[in-house]
Amino acid sequence: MQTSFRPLTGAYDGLSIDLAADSSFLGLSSAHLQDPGRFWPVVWVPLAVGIVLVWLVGRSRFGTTLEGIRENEERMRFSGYNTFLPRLGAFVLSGLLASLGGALFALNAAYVSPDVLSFSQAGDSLIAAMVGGLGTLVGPLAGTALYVWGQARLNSGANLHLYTGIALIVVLVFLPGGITGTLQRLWKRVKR
Amino acid sequence: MAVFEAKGLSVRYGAVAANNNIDIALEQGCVHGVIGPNGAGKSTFIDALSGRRRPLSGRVLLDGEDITYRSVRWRRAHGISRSFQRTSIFASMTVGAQLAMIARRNAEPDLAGIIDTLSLGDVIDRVCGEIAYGTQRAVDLAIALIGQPRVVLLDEPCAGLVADEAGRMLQHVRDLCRACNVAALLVEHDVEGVFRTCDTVTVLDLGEVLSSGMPAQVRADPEVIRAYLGSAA
Repeated sequence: MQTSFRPLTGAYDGLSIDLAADSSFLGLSSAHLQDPGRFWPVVWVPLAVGIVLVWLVGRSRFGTTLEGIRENEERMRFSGYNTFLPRLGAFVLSGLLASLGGALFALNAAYVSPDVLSFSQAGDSLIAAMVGGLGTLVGPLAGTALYVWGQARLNSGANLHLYTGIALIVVLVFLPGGITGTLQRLWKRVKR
Repeated sequence: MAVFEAKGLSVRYGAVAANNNIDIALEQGCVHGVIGPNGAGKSTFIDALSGRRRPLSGRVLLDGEDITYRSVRWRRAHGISRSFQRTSIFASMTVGAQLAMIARRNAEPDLAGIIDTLSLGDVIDRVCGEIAYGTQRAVDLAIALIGQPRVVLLDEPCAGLVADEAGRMLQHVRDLCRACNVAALLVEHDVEGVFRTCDTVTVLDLGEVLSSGMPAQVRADPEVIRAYLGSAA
């Protein structure tokens, strides 16, 4: 498998994204794509569109149906709902958003190898979402912001995974619902 | 004429005959109680009737039409709904949100009426996982009653309720079925409650019908007394 597809996938060597010297992507050359100052609109526009899209889905009937299926799939079926198609739709939508993120990552990094699919990479985004709070729109954003901040500030001693693990344990043990879930509960208590 | 019938229904788990050749007929506006000791096959019977489990043989009829192998969704769309022995609700959603969701799917014209009848008005904005257990059972029942079903299969609606709560729940079920002309099958552990509220009763034992008929008749059946109720009853 690995060797027969080598010309296509690059196997363990990965693939570098080489734009020819005179060609460009969205008006950006290779060098521009790796320059954060030039690349950021390419990231922020899809992010903003994605946020609005997910927000709209969450408020729609489709979103309510998905919530019902997450909570109790069997009762949804016994209440006359088709549960297969909404679930398929949810996986397609989240796959779409994840692949968008992956494409943007590849453009910026200009190089992808099997390492980016390893759990230490893919798992980090899951952990960031859990720390922020699953099942909410703001949660994963907050978790990712925290993760990126931590990466910038705490990575010097190569102990980032230690801090990530501590953050995950703290959230799982003390802050069910993540950061946003905890803030919501505190807000409820204040209101009463 | 019976609106909902089972004829010779048999369900097996491997070598164990959980239901063996069971006949039952439900009439509109009547509550039919099914009682029997643990392992008599009551829950299996409801699973087979509601399409959750395929029977080995026998037929399930709705208005005389064979619906044995119709899907769960088809049954719900054609007026057969059920509740569950283990409370089956949507814990993270508010009571109002989940009832509205089910009502939208099943074109319920009078959701406010159902909420009113089951006294759920006070908890409508509460998250369902946080309300009292007895109220959760009422939500469970409300979900089954939405959409004007013609046949309601209730699997121990009083499971886990204290005696007077259970009594009220059974009373409620009977009044609702009479008022809405619904045919109800009520599987219950509380034998006295069933004899008091049901129009007809079937006793199951080891997967077979031991006795069936009017409550007084079943209660006097020597077979039932010997196998189930004990000599004191």
